[in-house]
Amino acid sequence: MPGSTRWSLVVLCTLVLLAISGRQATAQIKASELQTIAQTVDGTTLKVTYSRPRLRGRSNIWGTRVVQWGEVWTPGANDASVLELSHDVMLGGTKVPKGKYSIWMVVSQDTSWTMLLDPKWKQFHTDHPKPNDSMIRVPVSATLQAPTVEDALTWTFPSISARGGTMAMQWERTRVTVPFTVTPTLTDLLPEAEARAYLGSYVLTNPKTGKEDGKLIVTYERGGLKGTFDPNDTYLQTFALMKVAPDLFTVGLFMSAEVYAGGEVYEVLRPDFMITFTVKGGEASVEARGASDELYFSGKRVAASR
Amino acid sequence: MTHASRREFATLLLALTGLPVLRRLGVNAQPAHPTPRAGITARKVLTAAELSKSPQLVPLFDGVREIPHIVDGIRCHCGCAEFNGHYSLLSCYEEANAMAQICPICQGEGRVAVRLAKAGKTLDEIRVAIDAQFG
Repeated sequence: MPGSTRWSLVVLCTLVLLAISGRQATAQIKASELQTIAQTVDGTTLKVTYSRPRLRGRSNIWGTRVVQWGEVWTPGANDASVLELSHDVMLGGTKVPKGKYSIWMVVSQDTSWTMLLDPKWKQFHTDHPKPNDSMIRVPVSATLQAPTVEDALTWTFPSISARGGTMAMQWERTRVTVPFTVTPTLTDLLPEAEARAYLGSYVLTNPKTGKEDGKLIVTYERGGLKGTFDPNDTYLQTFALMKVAPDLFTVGLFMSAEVYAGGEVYEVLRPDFMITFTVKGGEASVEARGASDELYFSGKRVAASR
Repeated sequence: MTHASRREFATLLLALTGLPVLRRLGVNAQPAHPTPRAGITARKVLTAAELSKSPQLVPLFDGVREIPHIVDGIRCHCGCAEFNGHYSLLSCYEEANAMAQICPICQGEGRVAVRLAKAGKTLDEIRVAIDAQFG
């Protein structure tokens, strides 16, 4: 075959291959269709890509040849289900580094299952890898008698908090759950020695009127800086001042005064509410700005501590 | 392997594996702030005449025009940095499709940069403040 003809054939085959691969997702009915579900918490995204086997009239599939007790089984079908993490995550108390893993479970008749995360993520569901040292083992809770039936195997994130949530897999009445926590991007904690420079009562000036219209009280409680307006702002209440850069803070909200007593920040108002302190000698001033850099207020400290 | 067959092999390899790999690298990369280009000017920053439909933005664009050497060293966090031809926050303020005409993040970052530059802050200090608020 002349070189030019062979070259043309290679290009043609390449184009055909690319065209076929692009059509696969839409042109074929599958017993177990593909789904992707992703959840982001505080900038960390957990993504599960899996094929969803259906019961198709079958019942009591657990402990049968569909899913056998003791089997190392991928909770999905076709290619092994894949978990992709954009940052490190604590999954069921086990650190799982950022990356991509195939998901396997050691199926058990009791409520303590083990999830195996294999860095070798591209595997077929019949590969049933043997547990080995490269896998990450995560203890998970299982119930074989969930109150509802899922016809198609389903991954969900049924609960979410500021720092994590729960991942769940259910097929028929068998439900497996595992809690996760993400790496926080911000903390409301600050060493007291560093916080001391900002403590006190600040008289605030409204930039639109040029008049004084309230106070910002900055205190140190529960290991971090807290702010309260006087008169009280019913939306902000007592809020966390969360450090984002030297002398620059953003506002973290608590659910209510009651939850604040032992609770966690549920929303951070970045970039919408940024508070800058300027401390020189014993004097301190403050100003707050929004996402458009608009000035909300400025103020001067009138009492160094409360 | 002959020269022709090596070329064929490389073509097939690129088509079947190379492109997805390159795409993935682009998505996962975490670029830092750009280095201001030597001799950068503000000649492409939109003028008041070009902002006739958004006169409220004229002071902001004028402020950016005064500090192109600063704004060219800042990475925009709104996602536009992934676009072809986009170099820095300065790009958000340039030419007819300047994104800062409509994007509140481009605008907010520009306002912070202008204010802090006027206050005498260095490029590094401005980068820290913008990352802290918008990053």
